[in-house]
Amino acid sequence: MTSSTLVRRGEGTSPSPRRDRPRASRQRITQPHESSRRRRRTGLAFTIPSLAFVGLVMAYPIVYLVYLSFHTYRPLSSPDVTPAGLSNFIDLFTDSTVGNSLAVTLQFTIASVLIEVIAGTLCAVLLATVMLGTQGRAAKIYSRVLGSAYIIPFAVPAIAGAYAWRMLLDAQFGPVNAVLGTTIPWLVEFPLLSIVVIDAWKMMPFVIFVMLAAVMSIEPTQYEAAALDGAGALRQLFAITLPSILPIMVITAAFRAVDAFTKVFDTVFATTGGGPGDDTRVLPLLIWRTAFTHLDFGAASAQALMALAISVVFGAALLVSQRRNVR
Amino acid sequence: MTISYHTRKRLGVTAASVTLTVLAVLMLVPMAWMAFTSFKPDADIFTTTPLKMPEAFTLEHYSNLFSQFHFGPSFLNSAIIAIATVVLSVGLGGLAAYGFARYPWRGSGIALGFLLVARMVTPAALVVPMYVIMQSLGLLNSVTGVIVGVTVLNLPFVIWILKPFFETVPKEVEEAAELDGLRPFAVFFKVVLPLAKPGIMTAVLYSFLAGWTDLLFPMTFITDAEVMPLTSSLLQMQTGYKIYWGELMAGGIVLTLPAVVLCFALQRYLLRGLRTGY
Repeated sequence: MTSSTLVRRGEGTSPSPRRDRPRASRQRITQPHESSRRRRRTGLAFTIPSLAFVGLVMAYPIVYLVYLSFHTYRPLSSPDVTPAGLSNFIDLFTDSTVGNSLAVTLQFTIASVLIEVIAGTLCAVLLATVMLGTQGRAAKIYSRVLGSAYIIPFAVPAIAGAYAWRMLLDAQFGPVNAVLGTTIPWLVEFPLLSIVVIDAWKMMPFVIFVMLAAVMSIEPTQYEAAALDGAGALRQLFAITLPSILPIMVITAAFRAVDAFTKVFDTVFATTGGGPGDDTRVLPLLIWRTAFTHLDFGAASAQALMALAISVVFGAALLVSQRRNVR
Repeated sequence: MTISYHTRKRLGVTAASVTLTVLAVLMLVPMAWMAFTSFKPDADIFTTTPLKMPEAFTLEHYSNLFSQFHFGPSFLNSAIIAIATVVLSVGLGGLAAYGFARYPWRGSGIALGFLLVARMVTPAALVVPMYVIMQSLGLLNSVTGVIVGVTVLNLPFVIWILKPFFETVPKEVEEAAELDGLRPFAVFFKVVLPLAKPGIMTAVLYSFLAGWTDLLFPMTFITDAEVMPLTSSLLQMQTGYKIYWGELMAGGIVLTLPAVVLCFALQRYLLRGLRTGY
């Protein structure tokens, strides 16, 4: 359907002499100066709905967040919002749970991104080896099935994946302990490692497929030349593959890091719940608990502002640097 | 003894595919175990020999979901949230992405920059003031608040995905359509949209997933079980003194299945989305 409409449009729109349109109107489109005001208005008309929506639903709450952070609002003890000066911000530095939470979030981010990028890239290289090294229909189908299997964790809702892992790692009833013949409460004894593994399971597919595209775009002649020179597989990996995909690896890692830092919530909430103690109380969870468990909106707002500042600074730096890379 | 280059290469390919197969099986274990457990009777779940095959499988946990845990309404609520997220974010985001791609105005670069940085916003930070605002608007305990929250976080991503697609549509096609007397909005809907279908499908898929899988907004805004989507309904199975493991596993499968089926059906677009910068 789409192609036929296109063809029809294409026919009708060729500037054929039969159409007795005035020449000037065609020139108006090709000359940007004359119609620039109208183009500007058109551009605004297309973008204003989104900008207004984001302004209303994101910018306004953030302004309100700033307001709340300078106030005390504890709906449990009093419905009033009272000025609090800088006390919420001073608490950020004096309250040890905040510093601890920052450290935990950072550890989680670094560990999971390292595992995901290194293991994911290795998988991508192996997958490319299989895809390029085999011929025939059976092999093609096989590599497609493999690809589909890797996609599943990514498609699984985080909360469902988290509960699946919690059952898997359960001290009494979990199959992992049954296989090992142990009764280790993994989520209590290795809480941070556990959430890193779960996150790696969920997000590695993303890295695999981004890196696969990068590996597949390397000129195959490079490998042929290297093979003629007697370079082995390992040598080829380090001399050809890795150098050519390194820029994409770095960008992927940076994006994953911002994502991991800002969005880790469901997995931790449903597995360790931030515990034991404060061992896995990542920043988003700390903010949420302060606001909705302790009902201290002022303190939560200051924490939230801190989290926003960190992620927005890193995110903006990332976008700017990437833009420079592309152009 | 030397091995020829081709033998070595074939050995390498075989080793790679064996490694990958083992890894793929390992990655499937968590969800496979979840499905397996969901069909077990309670006696075979709460045992120290979970690997033993149960004598019989049961659908009891699945029927409990609907009789005890409001999964009927929850499923519907999840669908409403997901579809509304798709309509709102692809509708608004599609227009904006086209505007940014084709009709830049002074300051549009900065506006786009802000929209993209909005992608990096910590959802848990946004939910704090939003809760207070929704409360004063009387929008707690309704799917509306959730839809608005999910959409505003998803919209920047949709614009990010769609803008490059619109940029690849040949300008000549649009100019020709304009010559034909079509106004810019008509050009967009009648000419550009059909051409950008792969991009639109990608945006639709990711928006649906964003709405379907979101937990943060519903668990914060909704306390009434009848209004909850599947994600926050799952949390209800974990009470202070008891975890309904069987129902939890069955519920996880009910939540997962539509997402996975959709991802398989639209796998092409899923991968495209990953590559154009998830």
